Amino acid sequence: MEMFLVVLIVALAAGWLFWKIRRGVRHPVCGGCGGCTGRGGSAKGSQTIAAAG
Amino acid sequence: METALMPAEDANPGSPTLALTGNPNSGKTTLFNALTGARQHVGNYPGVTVETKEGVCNHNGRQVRVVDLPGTYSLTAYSMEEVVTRDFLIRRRPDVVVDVVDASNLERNLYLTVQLMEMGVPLVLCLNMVDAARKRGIEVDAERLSARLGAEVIPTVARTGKGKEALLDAALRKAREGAGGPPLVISYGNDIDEAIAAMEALISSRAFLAGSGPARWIALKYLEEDGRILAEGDAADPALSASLKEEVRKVSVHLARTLDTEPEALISDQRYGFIHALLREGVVRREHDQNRLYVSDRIDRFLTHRLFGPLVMLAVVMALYRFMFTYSARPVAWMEGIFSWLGRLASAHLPDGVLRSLVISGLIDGVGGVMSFVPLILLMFFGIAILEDSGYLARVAYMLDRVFRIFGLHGNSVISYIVAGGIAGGCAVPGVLAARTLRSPRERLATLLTAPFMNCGAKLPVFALLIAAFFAEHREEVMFTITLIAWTGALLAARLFRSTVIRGPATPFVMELPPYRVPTLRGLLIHTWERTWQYIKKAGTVILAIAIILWAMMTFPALSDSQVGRFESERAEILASATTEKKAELEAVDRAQAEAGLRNSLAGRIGVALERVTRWAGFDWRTNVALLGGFAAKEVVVSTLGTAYSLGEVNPEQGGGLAERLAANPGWNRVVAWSMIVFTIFYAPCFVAVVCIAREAGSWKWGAFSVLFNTAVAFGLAVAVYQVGTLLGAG
Repeated sequence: MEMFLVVLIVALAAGWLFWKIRRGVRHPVCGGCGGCTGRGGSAKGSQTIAAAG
Repeated sequence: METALMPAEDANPGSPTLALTGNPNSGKTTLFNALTGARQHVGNYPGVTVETKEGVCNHNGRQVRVVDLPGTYSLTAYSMEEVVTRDFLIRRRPDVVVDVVDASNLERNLYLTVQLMEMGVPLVLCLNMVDAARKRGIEVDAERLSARLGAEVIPTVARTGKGKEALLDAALRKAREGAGGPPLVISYGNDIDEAIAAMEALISSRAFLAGSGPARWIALKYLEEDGRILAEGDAADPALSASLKEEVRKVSVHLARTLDTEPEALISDQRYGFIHALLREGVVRREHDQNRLYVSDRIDRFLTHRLFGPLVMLAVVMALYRFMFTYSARPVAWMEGIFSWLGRLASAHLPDGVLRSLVISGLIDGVGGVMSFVPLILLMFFGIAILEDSGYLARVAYMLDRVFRIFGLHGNSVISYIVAGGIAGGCAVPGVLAARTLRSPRERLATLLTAPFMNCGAKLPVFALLIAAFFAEHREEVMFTITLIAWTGALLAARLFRSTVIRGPATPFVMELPPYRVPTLRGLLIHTWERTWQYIKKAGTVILAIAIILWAMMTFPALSDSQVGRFESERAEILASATTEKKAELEAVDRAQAEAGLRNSLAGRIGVALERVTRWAGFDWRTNVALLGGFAAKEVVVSTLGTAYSLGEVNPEQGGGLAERLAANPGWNRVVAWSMIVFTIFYAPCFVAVVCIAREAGSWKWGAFSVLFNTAVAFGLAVAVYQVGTLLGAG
């Protein structure tokens, strides 16, 4: 049970980070609002840029 | 790259169109009459011309159509004159625009010039009434003004016709070029620049109102709430227009809260700041008006003085660091106390096992290490907010501009460097994006590649940790030295790039000098909190996720049963023996087992493999793992060291702060600390910054270059520091 919980937490962290990195590569400037490609997406992501680095 | 307004395709190639613009009463109509021989009514009061008038003149056997546009102060559609002038420039696209300015009132007259240049029209400046200006003791250096403005400037006296031949020569030369230069880009301060960048991206991506002007200019008109452009935008693409208005609303609310102003007022301030700076350094000499200096000018005479200015600047930076370290020491200790208490709490309530290890070594010691520096970061941001909101940061940029030219960079590069962490605490990503304001692609690339050398807010905890551990007696002096090392390295690298891979000429530049303001407490608090919150949010999201993954990499694979069995049998032997030092011996076995476990893990194996090379710089395998984690985000260096030294401890929840652990570790000393500081300053930018560099430079090649070049330079310098330091016995 303990091991399952640890694996779950690590998998969730890795999955979320993978999604974040993929979004960062696609939208490095807007972070996901679509402003840099015009394709649209999540408006929330525009804040990512200020937090990065 | 912005496109300038091109002449209309239906323009008659044999008879170029010359449009006269200028402020009311600048002598446009007089010049029109001088050029065309017409007898239009001229009055010595503003606003004589309310409609366009056309005439023809012959110059060197060539026919030129001359159009006299109504006098205006700006190009925002407030009055009929402005609408008529702007519509003519946009719809009819003359081959050349001659902007007539009154030499006696240059500062006011150039406001329109700046707007014309932002539109990217092909421009020649007619410096009119130079005789009247001279009588008033005002001498304008046309050549210097031309060089700084990037447009030809021809002195004239329209009343007598003096200079009109030279003006027509210059105008026809410009008309032959076929287009204006790239539109002028003025920085309107962080808040507005960010909004413009976002809006520009939207406008460009959909070719929104493409026929009306460059994307940046359209964005500016939205920020100025220009009625006509808004109406045109609503008709052309209502959804996009609404998105742009939303951006404007957001920045307006932000500016109202922080600076108690609105975008339009700030834009106007910055334009005047630009003009003000343009006219410095001998462009305008006044014989009689020395006492009419503004308050900002009086302050600037001292603060931007060639000798005192840089001294004041260095003193301000030093004072900022002293302020940051002095007042953050106690709150940082409180924060460490809170995380230490959390560790003990988790230890008391969680059973021994991997989950407890994850919570204590991964989360609390990892993320806690980063979060402990929140008070320090907060004070740093508060200090920077004071410098920024008061207008002093613009003066710092102005003074550094002279230095930057020596190293092949552009004045706007200063803004990039400062945003990226020139005074420690910025961020490389907006720093890289700020390089967009540079017109020359070569200067832009040199800036993109060197701005990440600045000390961003993420590197700050690494420095603060090492300073607390090894240089507690000289905190601000060491931080100041770190800043100087970063600047020197960045500038030398820029010089190297500009002399080799990105060689090319320098472009003229004028730095904006907005008037000084007394910062409002509310504005300072909002700016400070916004940035600090981003730091906290990042520690609680990205850093947390990376800390969990790195903990897993530092924990698995675990020791095999036979390896664990060996330690168990050692313990059994100690317990069975008659020795009196049982406790100490058992602790030594526990420590050896913890270290063996860490070395056996995936991250440990990578760290150990790298140790063969990195030991030249004094880095052990734990440091290697931390620095590798720093590729993701620099804060991870601190969180990973926290986890690595926690996992290596027998009772991680009972250990002191990370700084104390490092100071007590025999593998660390002052030379290793300096080596690590130098490596941290220069090595590869974080992942997000690399993506931005690649995108902004237009090629992943440059992203890869920044990773490889920076890491190679950082390692070479770290090895030099460690080897020389060790030889001198400085450890």
